[in-house]
Amino acid sequence: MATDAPQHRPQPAEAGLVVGHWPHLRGKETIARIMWSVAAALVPAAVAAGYFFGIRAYLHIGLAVATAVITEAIITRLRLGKMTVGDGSAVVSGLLVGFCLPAQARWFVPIVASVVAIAIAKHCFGGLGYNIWNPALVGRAFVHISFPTDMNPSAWPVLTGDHFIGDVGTAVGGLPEGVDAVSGASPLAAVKDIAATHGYTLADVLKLLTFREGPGLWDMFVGTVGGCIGETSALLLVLGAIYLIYKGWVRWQIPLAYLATVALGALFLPLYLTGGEGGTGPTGWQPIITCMPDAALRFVLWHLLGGGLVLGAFYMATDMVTTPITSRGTLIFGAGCGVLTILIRLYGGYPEAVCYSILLMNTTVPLIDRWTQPRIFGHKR
Amino acid sequence: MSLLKEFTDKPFKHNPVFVLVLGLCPTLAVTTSLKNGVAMAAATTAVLVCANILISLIRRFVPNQIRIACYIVVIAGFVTMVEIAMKAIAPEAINKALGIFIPLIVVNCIILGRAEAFASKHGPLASLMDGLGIGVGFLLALVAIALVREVLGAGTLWGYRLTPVTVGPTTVIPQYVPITVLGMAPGAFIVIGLLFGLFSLVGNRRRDAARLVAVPAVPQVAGDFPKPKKKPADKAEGGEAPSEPRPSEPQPSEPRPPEPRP
Repeated sequence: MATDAPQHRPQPAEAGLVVGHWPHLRGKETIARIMWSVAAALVPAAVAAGYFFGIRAYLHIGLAVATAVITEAIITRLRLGKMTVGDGSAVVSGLLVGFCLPAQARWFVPIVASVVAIAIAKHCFGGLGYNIWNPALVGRAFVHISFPTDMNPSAWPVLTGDHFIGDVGTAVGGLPEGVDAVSGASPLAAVKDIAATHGYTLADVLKLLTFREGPGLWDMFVGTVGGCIGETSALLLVLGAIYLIYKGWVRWQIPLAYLATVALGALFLPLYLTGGEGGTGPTGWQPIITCMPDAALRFVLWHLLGGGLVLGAFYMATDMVTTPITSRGTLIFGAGCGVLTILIRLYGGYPEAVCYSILLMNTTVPLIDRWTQPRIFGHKR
Repeated sequence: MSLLKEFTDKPFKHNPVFVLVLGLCPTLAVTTSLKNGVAMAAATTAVLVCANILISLIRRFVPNQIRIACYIVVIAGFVTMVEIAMKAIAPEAINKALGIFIPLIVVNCIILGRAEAFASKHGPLASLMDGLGIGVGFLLALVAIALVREVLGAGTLWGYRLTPVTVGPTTVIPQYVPITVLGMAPGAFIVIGLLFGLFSLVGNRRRDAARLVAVPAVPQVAGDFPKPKKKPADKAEGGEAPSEPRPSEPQPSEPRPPEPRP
């Protein structure tokens, strides 16, 4: 074709890279292979979301993915003169955007979130490989600030059966009548409400931990609790993540450091106890480990399984582009995310903190990378 | 003729916000609504024109070493006048919204920048035209930013709420749901960033078209992606068909006197 440059010339090396002499071993890993694998790992949770939250979950995920793909196609066509949708990165971003929206958000919320994620968070900073922040999380943060009623509904419906309800046009909270749905605060919002109204009384912590109020640990593990579309089922998310870790595309250091820091923080950070109902219990600032040692494990598991922590720790904090390169760097990054998450959860204004913690830590990645450069063999520090 | 050019050059080619990148602080802060933006631009333009003329008149008497201090005194005088005038004329809501940003025009870098770069080197008439041109440019920039932020971020236009469009019983355009973040500080940065990009894109296109150089209208990414091979537009514009994309043009497009940024 006349419009194509001759193909036999060797492609110039990327700026700053030196190509050694041949023969070269060619790796089979490509962007497309990795991205489609990540998408595949997310599919079980996506399928289950429809079971938990009804057809709206599928519609939201579908809208988010479609918008992300269309936006990516248009922008890459304009910027690069070709479309790179086939590499699957837009699909993964769209899936993750859809995963961190509540099912009853209005129909345009996933669209706005996906456009912001792809157009602003990704391509304004140079496209795949150059973005500073995780695109999906930027999209979520954008709609979280813009549409607070959609993103923080007072009641999170959970379907107990295989009822497919509603259509995308239904307004917030507009569940049709006669649907066998359980609604309640998401686990973390329940904790936050108690903390906000009268501090953590001992009785409240006990209530939470014995799960006379709110969902139980097993529900939180399987996913039949309130929450955003894709974040509730720790079981399915971890299954997908194990596959990715086995392939080496998700580095285990980040989720490990992240989850461990959150667990340690939940154990040892002091809660404000107000003495319980009769004023007989412990008062003042005390960590759960000293005031209620036998309930500590459940409190920790509550924080690990609650909210978007599993989704964030395994899929969002581990995005290859926006995380440090070095192993020590990934540990620092994960720990930083964990510290921010547990601090905001226990003392901050929001019930959930995974999104903003990861975004804040993404900002520090260049610094972390600079600090944790490994010593080159034979060089002195 | 050249006096007219001093005016016509300014709004686009030397736009204070998008090209000279001056006065970003008030630009980001007051563009939450169109009314505020227009009021701010009017106040700034008034100060700018007066200060430009006076500074141009006194430019031969002011010792070089203390010129900035003298300019600030002149500017502060006009700002005080404008502030008092606005309190008397402008509606209460606008005064409340603009608040501290009117007195802060004293340290607005547009005014000091033009005083230093233009008025202290040109006659009063040229300085007047420069002030008017830059003022119009500032107005255009503020209107562009405020339009996006007010319509998308608040769902209003010049204070009037956007309502759904209905034809008979059917709703053609449903009620717009404001994207509130665009009215907040992060939204200001996002909108101004996108408009910067748009302005540069149009500016580069015009410059390239003027030079009859067929540079693909694609940002030069740091070598990651293969450059687009050739565009059909090349043939139409350039006549020649370059087999390789041209090296990127040197960044400062045209020799311009360096603009100080106080």
